[in-house]
Amino acid sequence: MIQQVSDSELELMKIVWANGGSALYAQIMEDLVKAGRTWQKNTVITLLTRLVEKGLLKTSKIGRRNEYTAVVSESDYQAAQAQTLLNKHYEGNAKGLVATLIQREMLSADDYEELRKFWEKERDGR
Amino acid sequence: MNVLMKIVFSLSLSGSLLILILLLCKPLFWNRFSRQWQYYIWLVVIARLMIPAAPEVSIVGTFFSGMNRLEQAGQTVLQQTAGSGTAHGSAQAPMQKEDIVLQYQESGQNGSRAPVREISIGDMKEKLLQDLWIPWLMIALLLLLRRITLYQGFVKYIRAGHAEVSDTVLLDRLAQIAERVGVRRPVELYVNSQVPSPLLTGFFRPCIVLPAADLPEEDFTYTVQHELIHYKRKDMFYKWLVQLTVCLHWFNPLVWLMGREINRACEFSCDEAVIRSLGEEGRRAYGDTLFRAMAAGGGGRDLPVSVTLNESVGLLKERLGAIMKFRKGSKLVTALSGVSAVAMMMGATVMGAYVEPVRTAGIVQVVSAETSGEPSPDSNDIGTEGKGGRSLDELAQRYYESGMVSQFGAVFAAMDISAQRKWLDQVYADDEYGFFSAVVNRLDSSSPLVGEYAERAYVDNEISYFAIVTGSLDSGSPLIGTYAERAYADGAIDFFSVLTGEMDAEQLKSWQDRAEQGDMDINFRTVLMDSDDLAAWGQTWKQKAEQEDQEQYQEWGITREGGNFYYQDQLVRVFFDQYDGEQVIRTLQLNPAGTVDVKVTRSVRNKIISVAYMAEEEVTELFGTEELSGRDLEEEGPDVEKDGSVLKEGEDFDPDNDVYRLTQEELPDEVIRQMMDDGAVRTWYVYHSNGRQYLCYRGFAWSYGYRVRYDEDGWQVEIQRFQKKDSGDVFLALPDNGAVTVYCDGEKVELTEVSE
Repeated sequence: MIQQVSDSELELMKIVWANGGSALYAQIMEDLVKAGRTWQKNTVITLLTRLVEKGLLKTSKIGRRNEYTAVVSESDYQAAQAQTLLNKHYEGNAKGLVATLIQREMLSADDYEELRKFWEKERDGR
Repeated sequence: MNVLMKIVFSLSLSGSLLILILLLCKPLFWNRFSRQWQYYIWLVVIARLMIPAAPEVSIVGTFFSGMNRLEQAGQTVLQQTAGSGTAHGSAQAPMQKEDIVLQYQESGQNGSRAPVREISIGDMKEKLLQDLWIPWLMIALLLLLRRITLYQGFVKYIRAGHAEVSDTVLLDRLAQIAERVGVRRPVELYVNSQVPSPLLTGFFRPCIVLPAADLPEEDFTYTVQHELIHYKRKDMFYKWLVQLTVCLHWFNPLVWLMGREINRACEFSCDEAVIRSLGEEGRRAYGDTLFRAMAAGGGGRDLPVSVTLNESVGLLKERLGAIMKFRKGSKLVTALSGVSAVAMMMGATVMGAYVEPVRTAGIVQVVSAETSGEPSPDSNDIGTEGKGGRSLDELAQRYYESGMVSQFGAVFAAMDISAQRKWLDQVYADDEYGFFSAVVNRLDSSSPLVGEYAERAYVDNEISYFAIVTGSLDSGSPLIGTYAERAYADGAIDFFSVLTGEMDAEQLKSWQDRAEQGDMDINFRTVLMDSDDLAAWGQTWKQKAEQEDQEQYQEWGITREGGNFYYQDQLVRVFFDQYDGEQVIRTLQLNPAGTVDVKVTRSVRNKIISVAYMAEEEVTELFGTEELSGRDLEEEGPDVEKDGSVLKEGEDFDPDNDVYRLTQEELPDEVIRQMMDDGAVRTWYVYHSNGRQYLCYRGFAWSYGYRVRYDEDGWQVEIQRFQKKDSGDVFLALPDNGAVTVYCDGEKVELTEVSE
């Protein structure tokens, strides 16, 4: 099971994923600045350390520099998060989730249509 | 008492005195010296409590050495109490112990147990004290273990309930404060509603745990700053050092008190560090923070070793007071606190501690160990095989190897007889004259060892050792009489001479009577005459003997002028006066200027039997080899004996009396006396008397020739050994106008100058 991460931690994960699954500390800092974040150096290190402790990142040294590598891919992470969402709030019932999405108009008609086509194709293919 | 315990107790005592000083002086420096000083000054005390090193002389060290002596004295008293019941009290401690054991067994049968019980209690107490270190260490370890597990449990507890603070605003603020305080490492920040007050854990990875994250910004800043300063100053290590100290000194309430004081001082000095850069307003705000933190945590309790922001209401009150009273110290105060710190360190050194006695208190320690051994029912255990005996032996070994004679003697005196015999053997075999002397004089005169070693030295012909042994005897001891008879019978004149010095008046008188009867070897008689107590008698006898000698020579056609002999008016080259059939030479003198060789033979009774010219072969035989015969000597070098011209010009000496050989009897009385008083055998001495100097060497078992030169360096005397004899001496008289240098067989010898 993948542990819950905070928003700021997820932001760091996204930078690592965007860098192809591994990034040097300096790159992460650079990307953060680009994204408009002005976090303190030690704040970032603390967050990265927490991610390592949670098993989402692993760290290796390249010379004197730290390289952070994602242990979990972005899609695996999303799947796991969706699973958690399902389990936690819909007792594993995906229909309920979709129903909520439609009811609350979180899903547009176009989205719905696309989803339906995807589903039929998948079912026929089996 | 066990050495380890002594060290621990002495450290504890020494530290306690320092703790008392600091506590008593606290009102003096409380509001004057910096809190930091008040915090770190305790390190001096901890060092004193933990480091078992001290100068050789220190207050506590002396106290504990004194305790050793008391312990020993106590033992002695106990033993004497017990010993009074037995008729045979020996001076030897181990033997006393044996007595006690015997008595223990005896009294066990006849029921009179009173003194015995006293011993048993004393010994049991001693035994308990010996083993005291075991419970001490057990309790110390248990306490320490308990603290560690408590801390681990606590860390686990706060870990379990904590939540990371993921608010990057707070994290950034934390990072900024850390940078300001000087903490380079990233600091982890947790929130745990279970902790009563903010705290810091982790030795290497700092981790601040707050009771809640939703603090006002000001509070957050101060709180974090406070905790980070703890981390920065390594207070965790200090706290654990204190814990270790308290655990080891668990029996000392003052050390516990110190632990509490340090905890408080830690917070005070941390507060000080926070507010140092703040103004009045900031200080008030910091006080507010402390107050709110306490209010939030509900007063808090003593947490296991971790660094908390607040401890208790009482302490907080003091802290709040201190914060508002904060003043930056003046230069004077800074200087004064520096001086106080140095004084404290010096105090710690002077207090000292008990140092394991190796040198100074060594004997006392070992002797007490010796006397404190428990009386075992099996008396065979006691003695040199016992624990104490072995350490005595080791100590003796140490002193012996490092040449510490008097210490060795003291240890020796405490040994039992078999150990003493072993050491005497060793010292004797190693020819350690000094040690032998020190040790023999420590022997009880009734010790069988005295007799054993008198015999050994006598048989080995070791006169100096013999002299030491007999010197330790009481004057007139029967042993002296026995050996005198034996030396006389053996013709061992030197031994006899030594013994006359130890005789009492009665013994001397009986020998004098024997001499009077005329039935005595002349040499022995001379020895008797030379002894102080018979000096007057000796003087008359000597004159008589000299006259007789002179008369006898004259009867046989020999005259003597100074060092020269004339036989029927011819200067004698080799004058050889010997006892018939005894191979004992009475006089052998070589004068290369002489023309005839004369041999005098006399009876043991000193009567001349014959005077004859010696054949050349006889002379050669006497002097061993051809080249050493008089011919060579005659040809070589200027001969002072005859040729006065080598003497320093302008000096006025009678050529006949310049340099000559003489007999012991011919030596001036004061020279003989000095020689007998301090002169050792087989040593070269120069005595000065009446404008002449006398070169003397007793125990020169050779016939010899000599050659003398006088130059600006003084007298150069060459002595050549010719033939081995049983005994003999070298006595040469020289004018006292220059230093004497002696070469024996070409080798320079060491001379001992004896001034009057």
